[in-house]
Amino acid sequence: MKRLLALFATLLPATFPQAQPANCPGFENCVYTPLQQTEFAGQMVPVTYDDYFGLSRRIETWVRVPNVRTGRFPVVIWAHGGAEGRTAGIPGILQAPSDLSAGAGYLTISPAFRPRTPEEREPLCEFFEAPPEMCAQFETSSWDRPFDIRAIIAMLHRENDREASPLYQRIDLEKIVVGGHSAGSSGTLSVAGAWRQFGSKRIGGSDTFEDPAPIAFIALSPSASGYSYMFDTSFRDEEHSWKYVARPVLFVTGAGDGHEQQPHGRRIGYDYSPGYNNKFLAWFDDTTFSHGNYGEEPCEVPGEQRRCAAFTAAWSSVILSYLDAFVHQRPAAIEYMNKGYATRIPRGLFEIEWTSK
Amino acid sequence: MRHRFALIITANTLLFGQPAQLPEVCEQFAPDCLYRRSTEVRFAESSTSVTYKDIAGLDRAVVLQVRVPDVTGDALLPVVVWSPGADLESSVAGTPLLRNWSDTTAAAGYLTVTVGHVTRDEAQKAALCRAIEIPDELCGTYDAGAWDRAQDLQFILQNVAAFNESGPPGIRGRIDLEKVAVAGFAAGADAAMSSAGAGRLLTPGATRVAPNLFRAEGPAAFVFLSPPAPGADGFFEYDYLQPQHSWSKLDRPALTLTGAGDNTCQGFAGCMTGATPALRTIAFQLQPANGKYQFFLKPVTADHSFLGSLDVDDCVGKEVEQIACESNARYLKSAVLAFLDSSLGKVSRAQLWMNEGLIVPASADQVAWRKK
Repeated sequence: MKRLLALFATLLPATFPQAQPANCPGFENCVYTPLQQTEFAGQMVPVTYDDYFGLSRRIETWVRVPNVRTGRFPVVIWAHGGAEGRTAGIPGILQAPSDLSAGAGYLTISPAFRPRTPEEREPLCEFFEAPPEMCAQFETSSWDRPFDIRAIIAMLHRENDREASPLYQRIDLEKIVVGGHSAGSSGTLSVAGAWRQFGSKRIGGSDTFEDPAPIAFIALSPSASGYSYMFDTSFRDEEHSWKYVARPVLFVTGAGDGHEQQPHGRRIGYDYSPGYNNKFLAWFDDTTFSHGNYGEEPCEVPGEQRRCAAFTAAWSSVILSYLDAFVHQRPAAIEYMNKGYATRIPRGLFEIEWTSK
Repeated sequence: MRHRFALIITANTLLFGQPAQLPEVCEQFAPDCLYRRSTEVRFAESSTSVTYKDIAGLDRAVVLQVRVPDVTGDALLPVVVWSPGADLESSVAGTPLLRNWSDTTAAAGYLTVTVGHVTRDEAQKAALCRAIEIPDELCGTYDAGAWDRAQDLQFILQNVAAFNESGPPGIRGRIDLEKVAVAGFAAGADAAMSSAGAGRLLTPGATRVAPNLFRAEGPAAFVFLSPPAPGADGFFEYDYLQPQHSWSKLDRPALTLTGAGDNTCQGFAGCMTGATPALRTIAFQLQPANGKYQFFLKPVTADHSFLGSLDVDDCVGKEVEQIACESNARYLKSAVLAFLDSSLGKVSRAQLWMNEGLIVPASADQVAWRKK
């Protein structure tokens, strides 16, 4: 984390040798510096629970524990994307945002959403009355992600209460944030209260996907209506996926964020979510930055080092300021968000739209 | 927009049980602030066909359902060319296409030409596939209609002057060549967008940099009812290292209309086919500013087909209250006529209605209106 911030500090001035300093009082180069900056250590932690159908489900997570010896950790759970799922809890899962939040003092959990085995698919396909050919293609991680996240939250409660746990009384259960990328955003928003439509069945709410514990959510490269089981209004039906997403959400996407969807479609979640002065959208209006760049892939476009540095600085700043604002109510973070300082980081290289409602 | 509120008793009073407050400017559009012509004209209907050499070198016949307003005097007639959706193709030889819309524009004094895009037979389709280099194995599922609608419109629009010189007596010499609009519904909106200059990827050789183009220079305005989503029907938007999109060259006035009920998605996981209402709004978002408007009907009481049919009986048959069906039809007609009169006729009253966004108070906020 410290290395990352140091990189911004060195790259950004060099990026604009002729430019006047950007005007963001208190924020060098308009980059947000988090409340805490710390080293962290990681390890694989399995999570086991009984799924919706009563089957035992085990997933692996990679847990980053900040090197902070006192106090309780706020928590960020990062949900990776990818329809095919992942199996092993390793550091590489959504590494960039995970390193970012852990380095800012957040206990960070990065699960691997294991796809179901053929046997495990059966009850799910029966539930959805999915014909065999559809069952074979069904992206089971889309179903399991929210439940897996809920199981992780339950695990946090257990570890916080378990005297033998290294995290005994060290977790701030009132400060849990869930974030995700791509399909992981759909899972994240499901935990926030979004409904999904699997065939003719709509699923959502506290009986299934929604968890009341998290206080804020981050959706990187969120899916459009019509994709990832997110649905829109239709004739004689006013329901849509985002109608009940009441808690704070930061949406982050941009013009290069296609990847089998439409970049402007990825703004729909923001547009449709009810605004209670707690929804935010960062739109990077440049096609240089790929779908992967919004999640875990570093921006490494040949010849675009300056743009990539500015993107990474802005992407990191909107995430960290949002976390510190909603978790710590840090005045500097709130000011940074309210004034949209991240939009000033590129200084003419590209535009960032920052909007809220 | 300045809101100087005045109390005007309108149909909304009856609808919602309390007097609706309308801006004072609505007094010019009494009783309900909707835009309408003071009088409607009668019109004569006829059907004809024109034939042209298509890209495959075949003679392609296109049906034209023509409505000529009964307007006396020497005034030239503005023109609206309508392109229907795909599901209406099969009825080309029978019932009128886009009847309500065509009647509406004809009664408003527009020479109205509604195009019957005749479906190809297998041999004709195979010839088209060869001509545009669609591989044989893909030709069976290729949407030839997407190409044909755009090609048909381009031919018609490029030959409006010729029709004016040598067309039937009711048309000959009566067309105002400066006042031609193109309007389409669903797949017809796709074709209208092509006429407006939208780039599409309909053939293997097309690229984002060099897409398939069917631009027609003559039309001065465009209406898109239930527009396409990017990613469908050859339309595309930005992507990683791809700073192009279909709508970047739409430099003439356009009105885009859709609504919360305009959802045609089908598929277990979402939209395997069709488009969501929100995705349909992207076409407006990406059009360059200047003379662009979007009409979004917020209630879910109008389905996709209603936007093309304006069929109140069908709407009521789908268990929507009659008053809602009728209101939706009035809102849609009002906006389209105001747009046509504004952009073609330069009618100041219509321009006022458009620029003030008076559909919003007229519909009691049932329509979201955007302009840029």
